[in-house]
Amino acid sequence: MIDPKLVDLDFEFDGLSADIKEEDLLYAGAKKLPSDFYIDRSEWDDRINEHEKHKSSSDCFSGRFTWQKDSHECVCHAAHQAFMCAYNRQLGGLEHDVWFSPLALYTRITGGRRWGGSSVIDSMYEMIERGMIPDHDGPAGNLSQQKKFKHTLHETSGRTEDWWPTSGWVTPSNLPDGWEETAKHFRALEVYTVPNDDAHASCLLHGLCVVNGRNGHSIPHMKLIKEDGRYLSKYKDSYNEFRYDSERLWGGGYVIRSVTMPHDASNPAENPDIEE
Amino acid sequence: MKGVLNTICVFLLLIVIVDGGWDFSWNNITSKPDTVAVVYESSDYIPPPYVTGALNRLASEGFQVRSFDKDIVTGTGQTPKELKEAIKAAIGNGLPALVVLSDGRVLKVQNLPKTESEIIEAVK
Repeated sequence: MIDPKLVDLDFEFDGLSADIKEEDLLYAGAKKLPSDFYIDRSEWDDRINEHEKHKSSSDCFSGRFTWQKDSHECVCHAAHQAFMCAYNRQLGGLEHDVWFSPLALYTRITGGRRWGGSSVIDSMYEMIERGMIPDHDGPAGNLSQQKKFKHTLHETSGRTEDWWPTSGWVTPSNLPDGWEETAKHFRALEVYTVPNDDAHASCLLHGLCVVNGRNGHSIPHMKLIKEDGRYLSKYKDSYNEFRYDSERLWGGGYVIRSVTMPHDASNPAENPDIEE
Repeated sequence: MKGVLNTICVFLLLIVIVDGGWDFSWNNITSKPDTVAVVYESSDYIPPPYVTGALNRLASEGFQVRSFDKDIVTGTGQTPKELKEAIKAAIGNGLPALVVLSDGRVLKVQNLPKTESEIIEAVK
């Protein structure tokens, strides 16, 4: 039984600066979700059961929660989840999981402005154009990705951890020199718009992570569930918690369909310092 | 006499193999599969849950598994080296395709099966 307090939360502004419009997403490089990808409502229950059976919904391909705490970075924490799920799905699970820095995306798309949030269209465009910068920390532990990648940054400016070698707010000029060389290996190649609630449910039922937003908060939706006869969209919120939205709050966002694929998944950024 | 007959039989067998147009490769016999790839055209097809279920099972048994669009590229715009042959074979077969590889070499390519167990069987 899901705690009712976790359903349809009212958010206060924490970083979604503008409503998401499909035409803006299309202009920035997304494509319309093909009509063949819509799944009829009569098939939803079977699909939900299949995902449960096969552990195939997008949450199975997300390696972590993030915690934006006192920041306005929600758009980029949600984007980070969508990218992570798409990347791990292509590579067959969490064996080659990479953690990325939402802060590194946020400061680039705001041009170094800390407060006031960002737009989903800008985050999507930046993922397509220049890509994601890895986090210091990774699935192998604190700072584990510093050895793996030449360029890393901390997760968020909203909080700090005592082991982080960098912390607090950073402007784009504070990013590690040459970061583009690493980020280019983590770019979105194909993005689809999610114009309405049917598209939202269909994408979740295809195992894709849907990013949308409301009340000034951007959200990465992971899977469709059914409880007490109603469908809920389960999302991995950037506050270390799974939460749920009912149908009235679905739609209006994007999914990442494919991302760059490394030559060698154990050295995805082609770091010459790593021996084969 | 027996030795002569054996020699003739071996000779005839070689002729059958060579003239029969068989795609015979020692790699197919000696190489152990290590990677399973599902290749598709992303605007036409999204692998359904049973495909992911099969890949999950194969991954848990030590296989590297990949699921990707035929036009996938690396961060520098190249076709991933380890998957180049898989993509070529999959496109030749028709998409979506299941490709079994050993050290980047294609051991087997076929249409993507319709059930989880058929995928597992096709790989083993």
